[in-house]
Amino acid sequence: MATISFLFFSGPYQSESPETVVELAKAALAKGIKVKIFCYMDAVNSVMTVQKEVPGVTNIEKQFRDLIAKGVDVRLCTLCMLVRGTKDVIEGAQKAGTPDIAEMAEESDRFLVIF
Amino acid sequence: MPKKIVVLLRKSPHGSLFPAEGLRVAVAVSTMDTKVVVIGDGVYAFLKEADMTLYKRHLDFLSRPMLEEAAPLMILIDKASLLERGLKEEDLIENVTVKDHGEILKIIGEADVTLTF
Repeated sequence: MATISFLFFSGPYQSESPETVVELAKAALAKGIKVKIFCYMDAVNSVMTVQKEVPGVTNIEKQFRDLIAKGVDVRLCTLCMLVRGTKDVIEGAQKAGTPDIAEMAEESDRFLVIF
Repeated sequence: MPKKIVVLLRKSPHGSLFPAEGLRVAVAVSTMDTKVVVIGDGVYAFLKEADMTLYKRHLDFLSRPMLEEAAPLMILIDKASLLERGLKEEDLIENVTVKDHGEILKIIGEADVTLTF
């Protein structure tokens, strides 16, 4: 099975980057492609729990929950979480480190960076 | 065949952590066929007078690998980016290599994975 990985940098509710990652991941899943997402720097906040539902705004927490439920491998930079005080993240998102980026680069057929 | 990795540093060390984080990732992928390529405002991170508190240890690791048989990881600076900013090769720290813009583009173009910071 082909694999695509994303190195993702953006926190939620400031730009469309989280939505972009989610939609690209969904499109890849629809084609039977395995998806991995590494949340780096502010992106670790995109998978925080208890994000408020706001009408007309895409709820990023829910989107990531759906991706994980569909088998997407979501990893979080542990150091980035520590410096931001990010604690409560959605179930299934795994704490990780920069060596995981090396592993993903090695194992993936395509590697995209989304700011 | 091992994948060719480029860690592409584009941003100034002033106002963001991107160069420091990019070099942290460069350390993580340094056992692969990796080059650090520096373009645009990223060149400011390698000036002699730059405050390297946040990434000095990464630079030290990259220039002096722990394993004796490992080659130092190459940090390649885009000459055009230097000239555009009125900078010269002599303004840069040791252990970096200045390359013509065409060579920089070729290296980026040949990479299997480009990790942009």
